[in-house]
Amino acid sequence: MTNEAFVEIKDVVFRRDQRVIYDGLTASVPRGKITAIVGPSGTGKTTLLRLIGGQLKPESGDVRVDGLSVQSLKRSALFGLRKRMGMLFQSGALFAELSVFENVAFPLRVHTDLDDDLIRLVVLMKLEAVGLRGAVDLMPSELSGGMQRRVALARAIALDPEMIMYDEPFVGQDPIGLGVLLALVKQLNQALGLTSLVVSHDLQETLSIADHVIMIANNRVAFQGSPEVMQASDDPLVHQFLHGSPDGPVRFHFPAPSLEDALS
Amino acid sequence: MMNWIAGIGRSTLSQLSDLGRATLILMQAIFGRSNVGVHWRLTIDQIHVVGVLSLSIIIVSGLFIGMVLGLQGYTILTDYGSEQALGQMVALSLTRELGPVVTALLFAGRAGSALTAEIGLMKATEQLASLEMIGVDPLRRVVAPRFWAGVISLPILSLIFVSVGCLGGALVGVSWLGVDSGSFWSNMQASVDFSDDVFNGIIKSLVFAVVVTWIAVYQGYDLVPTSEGIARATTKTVVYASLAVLGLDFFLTAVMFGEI
Repeated sequence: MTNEAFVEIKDVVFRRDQRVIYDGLTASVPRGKITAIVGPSGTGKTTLLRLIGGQLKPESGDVRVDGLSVQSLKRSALFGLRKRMGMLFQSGALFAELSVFENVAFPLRVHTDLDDDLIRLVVLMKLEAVGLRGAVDLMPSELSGGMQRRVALARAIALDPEMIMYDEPFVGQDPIGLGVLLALVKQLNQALGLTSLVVSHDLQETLSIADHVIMIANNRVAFQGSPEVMQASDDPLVHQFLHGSPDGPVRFHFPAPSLEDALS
Repeated sequence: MMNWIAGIGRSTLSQLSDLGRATLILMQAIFGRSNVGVHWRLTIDQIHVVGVLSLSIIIVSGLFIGMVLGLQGYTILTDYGSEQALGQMVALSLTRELGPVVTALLFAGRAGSALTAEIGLMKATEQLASLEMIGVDPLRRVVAPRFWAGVISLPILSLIFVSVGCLGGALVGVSWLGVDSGSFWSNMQASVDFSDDVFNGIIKSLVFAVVVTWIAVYQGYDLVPTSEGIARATTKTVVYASLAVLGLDFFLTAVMFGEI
């Protein structure tokens, strides 16, 4: 089973302060495919990425990445595991004081003993892959949001990770930028044999490149399977989400006492 | 009444847990294996940012405080006909108290708030999280160099402040008000003791450096990553650091000079 699934999440319970985020979440991410994580806002999709990356620890349950139980790893082992994962943050999270070149070179300088010529070669190759070799000497503040995200993507793949996690990569992109990023995610996944995890609100776009979908709602996995099966699903929750209906199993109203009681 | 007591308990608990977290962050940042070569370079960079760039405000303030001391001291001392003791008065006030304390207060406002805002903004823009995911501990990479830079810079800034202050005192006392130059400087030389005055001043300054920088990096690292959170944390840094400096100064003075 470990050969097929790169990430396995079992019965995870996670709470933030008093609020339950996950109550017995079980899911698996197949190796070498693009998995989309979708669901209504506030269901903790990003939290899931942070659990997988070991930045947060579940209250109970087990998160395994390539057979290693993330929450019980020692600090050094965890940092070792993170070298095998890349993560693309929503804002890009480039280091503001470093140039594009140094940003992409950063993981190489920290984790390898490559000499400067070789680092330059790798950095240029990675930037070429995202189409930004020409921007190598610019500072992050001189780039548009979409370009920043592509540089961050080059940085995330600098160490040739086995898995890459995208946190809302398509937010705030114009149609062209969105198309570029979609194509990149798909290309990188195929060319590098990566396992990709995409958290996104842009449902149709994400589903168009995904091989596998995990839908999270109401503190657990509401659907897991291929996009085609999801489209055909008659589950009311999945149906509401796919078609963007304002009311259904996911309620329009935030939980509150009844209106009569509140107004009296 | 019960609510009131419960409130005190709650706030004590939350302050204690803050202190615990701050201690943990500091310990993780400064102890443990790190790449000395890289971190030394980062620390030097930060000494430039927090130390060298604070020089202008320290020098200007030192000069003016020395000048004011010269002026005030002269008017009082001249009543007793002992204006030649002006050098002693200026130098002792500066080395024992004003140097370390005022430098630390200025440092909290100039460098401490900037440290908090910078680390806070790195947190808000996910740069710290991104370091973690690259497999680099932000406490070692971001917090430790800034902490050491503060600890190294502040005592040096404080010495510079004292030296410039003495010159300022001389400028007003000797060049303007006409105190004899020889008695000004020789009185200063005779009365300032290295271990009692200068060394104690440096110790004070070192303690302030640790406390101010610690508060600044902790507030930055632990803030709520929103614009409001950054604003609040920056204010907290300046307020807490100033209060801590003034409180600790009384304590240290009592220990160092209390028996005299």
